[in-house]
Amino acid sequence: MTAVAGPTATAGRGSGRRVREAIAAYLLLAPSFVVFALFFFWPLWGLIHNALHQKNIQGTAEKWVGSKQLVDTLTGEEFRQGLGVNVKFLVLTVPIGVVLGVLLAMSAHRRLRGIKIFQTIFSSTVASSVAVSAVVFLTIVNPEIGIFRDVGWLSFDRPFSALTAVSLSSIWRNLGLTFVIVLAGLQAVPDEVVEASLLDGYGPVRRFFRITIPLISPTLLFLAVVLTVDAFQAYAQMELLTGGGPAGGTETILFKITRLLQPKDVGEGSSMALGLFVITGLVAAAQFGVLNRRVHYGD
Amino acid sequence: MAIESAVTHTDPMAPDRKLPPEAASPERSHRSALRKAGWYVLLSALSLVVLFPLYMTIVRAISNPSKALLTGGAHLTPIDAEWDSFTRAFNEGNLGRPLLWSLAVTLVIVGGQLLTSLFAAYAFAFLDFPFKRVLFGVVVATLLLPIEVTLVTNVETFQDWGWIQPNQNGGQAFGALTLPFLATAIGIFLIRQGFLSVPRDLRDAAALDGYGHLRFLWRVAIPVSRPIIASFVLISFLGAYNQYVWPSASVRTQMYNTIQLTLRAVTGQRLDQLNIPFAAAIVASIPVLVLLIAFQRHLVRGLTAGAVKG
Amino acid sequence: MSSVTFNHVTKRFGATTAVDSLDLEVLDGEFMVLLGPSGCGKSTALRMIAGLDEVTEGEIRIGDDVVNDVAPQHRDVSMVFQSYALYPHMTVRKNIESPLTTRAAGNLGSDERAERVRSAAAMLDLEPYLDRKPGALSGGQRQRVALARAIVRRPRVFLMDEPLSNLDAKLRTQTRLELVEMWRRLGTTFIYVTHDQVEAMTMGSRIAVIAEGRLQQVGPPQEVYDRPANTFVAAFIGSPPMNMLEGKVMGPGEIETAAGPLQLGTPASATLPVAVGDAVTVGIRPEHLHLGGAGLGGTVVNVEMLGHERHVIVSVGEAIWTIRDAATDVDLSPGSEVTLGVDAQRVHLFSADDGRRLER
Repeated sequence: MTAVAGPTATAGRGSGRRVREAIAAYLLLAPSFVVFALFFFWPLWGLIHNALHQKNIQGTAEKWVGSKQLVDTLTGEEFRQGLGVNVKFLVLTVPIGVVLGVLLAMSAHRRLRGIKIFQTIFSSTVASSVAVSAVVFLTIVNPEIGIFRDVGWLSFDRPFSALTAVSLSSIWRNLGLTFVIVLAGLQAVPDEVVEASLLDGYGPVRRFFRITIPLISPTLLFLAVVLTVDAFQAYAQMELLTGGGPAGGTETILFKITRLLQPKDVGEGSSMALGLFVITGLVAAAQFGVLNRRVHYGD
Repeated sequence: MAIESAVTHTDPMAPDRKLPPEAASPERSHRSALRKAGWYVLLSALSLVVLFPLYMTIVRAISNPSKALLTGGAHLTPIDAEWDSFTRAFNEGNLGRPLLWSLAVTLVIVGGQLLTSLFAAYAFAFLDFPFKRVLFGVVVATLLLPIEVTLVTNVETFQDWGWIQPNQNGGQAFGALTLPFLATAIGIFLIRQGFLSVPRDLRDAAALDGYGHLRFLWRVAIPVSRPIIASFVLISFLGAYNQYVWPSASVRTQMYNTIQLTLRAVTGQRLDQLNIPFAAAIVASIPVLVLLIAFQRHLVRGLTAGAVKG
Repeated sequence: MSSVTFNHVTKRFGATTAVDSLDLEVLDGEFMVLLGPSGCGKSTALRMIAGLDEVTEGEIRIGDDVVNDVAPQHRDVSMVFQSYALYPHMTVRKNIESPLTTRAAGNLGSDERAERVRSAAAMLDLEPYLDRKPGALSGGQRQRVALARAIVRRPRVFLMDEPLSNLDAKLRTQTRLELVEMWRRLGTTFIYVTHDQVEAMTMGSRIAVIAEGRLQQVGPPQEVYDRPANTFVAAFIGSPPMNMLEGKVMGPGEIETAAGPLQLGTPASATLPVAVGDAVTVGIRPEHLHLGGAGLGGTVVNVEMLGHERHVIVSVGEAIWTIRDAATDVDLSPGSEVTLGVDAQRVHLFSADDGRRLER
């Protein structure tokens, strides 16, 4: 990097200077872009390539199968079952996650002595990874050692109840994140608007639904999308809690993909990945489209 | 130097932990006290719910495993709790090695991301060059590619290089664990935001004083953006340390398990070693907890980048 | 009855005292301005009337009712916030209607609500904007929406917290007029907080000057201007501010200063509560001084030309004084010595200890 070139785009910039600046810029961008090219964009190409090809067991040869593999996989039993698991998981975790986040944030957003302690406690689950939260919930839902092991609707014997048990661990894990995000949204509501509503005579319930919720709606939308994408990528919590559940009943798509990493399975795995990718994108976009109309963005 | 001193006083991204207005209803003092008590009760109840799973984990981690087994394994309070149980679990579960391994991997990833992001953010924030917008679009595009898209091919790539195979050695495992994550769009995004907030005046003054790029980066841009960089380091650490999917696909020898993978390994334990998985969960969480307590202020900013408008 | 009374009202935030034993009565129907520098407690006093801050000690009455424990919406007051505090997600119409939709407003039929909204909007020229959202309005328009929302409930008392400070200068002057007209039309009690003494002087029927949480003086504008109760009020009101100088009492009506002797002239000066040797602060407004004539001596520091007059900045003793001089043609260069004639009737005397006015 030349010692002479400065940080501002001011006057006196001959073409030599411009060239030097561009070169400096490209050099600075190079490391990041090498990583992106190798590990983000190449895989995108690889994904499509793999979905359209079939490899042999040793991975030494492959043949073109066209869209047949893609279509067969995506309409096949495995994928549909996995998608069903993902969708049910989504329904179990996202709405409750948002509601609980709002509940926690509303409770902790007030002037009380020691409120910061509660805020810290509520945000603490941010510290647990997916794996940690799954292991933590072994103490609660595991059929042998969990304290709720006799609770029917958390039983590991049936797919849906097993999934419910897994959902608990994810909901718990997400509490910290949702709390922090909603709290930040609440803190961004101008004090004076809340005070105006007090003077206007809004009781707490009315104020919550007519003033608070509309004003934090962008935050809630963001949260819903984040949780949704997270739900589509569920995998570790299933592996650690149910191992895929009763007869594959809690195997999400990503779960199945990680079992399809052998060369001969890579075509199928990639097809599933492509399907998941597109579906996630569509759902997130739909969420955005549908809910965005009801979201109010400030001036 | 005048410029540097100006730098230390700007903190455009300082988080503002505001409290709400007194939800007025200035009741008589005892009614008000009753209300407050009510809130404390609710908050305490919620806290108990939030902390309960953690409590259970600690209970199991420090309980004597053989005695615990006798009671059926599902107990609410510690059984014969001794710290010894914990340290034994640590040793028998071999938790120290994966912990250090994870930390090493994480530090390399965070360091790499920091470096590449600083450079790229500098270019986007302060330099002008052809295709600038296109390239930034490319960066944003990587955010749209989730793990399932990149997983399979990246595994293949490393298999081609011979780094993912049954006889994987330490260096190969380390490389596979770190290489794909040495750059990140989030870092470029966040740090660029921080850089853009360097006041125009400061940049002009530095240019007049003849600051080169490196000097400007080190003496002005980074100090001004310190809070946002801290936030990024925090979420970068969390992301790298807590990873599960990629490590599970790329590590082929138990010896090179990260601490998260170790959780999988120890969870299939024999029933008379019940405290090990839970001790492992606690050990795995300690670095994160320490970091969060130290960097609490920066947590909110890191998590909400994008959520709150304005 | 919509008078507002502060009875020994104190407000403490932890260790800080924001308002210190305030005794103030706002009369029914008057336009009372709470004036003071930033952080003096005037906004806190206003918020206590509204019920947005709790009273630590003392009593606040609206009319005859003690309202300390009454919820804000039941006090029958409206407030216009400095930032207007409009609901960004509601239309102008809904914003204005908002106070009427709650139970505290009583049960108004939707027809009557619509009528009140319409008339409030008409009074403030907001009819073309009723279906817009605040984000699509200019600052001045938003302020009018805030006003409309305040009047629609027909409260006993209007509270305003620096409502003009976010407007540009031209709009400010215009809106000042409109506010006073509105007050005359509605005939309700207005309590108005500001740090701008020009606003206070031009709008208030009475001004309450507040500093450091304590009431300094209350009275009609002219009285506060002509007979400030202490050096703070004297310096705060009036632009350019009152000139002050330290002095010592030499005899009845005679003050010795670093710039020369000062004669107070009238026989009444004999009744001043001072003794020979007392230290005092002399105050005199820029318009009560003239260049030339026997009196105090000083050196010209600068001359500011304003077109219709000039301000001559003179160093007098250790102080810097401003003289308003209509003669714009006479040359005066910095450094020249001048003498200042003093209108003896208009000299103010304050105790050098506590700044209190020494009355004649």
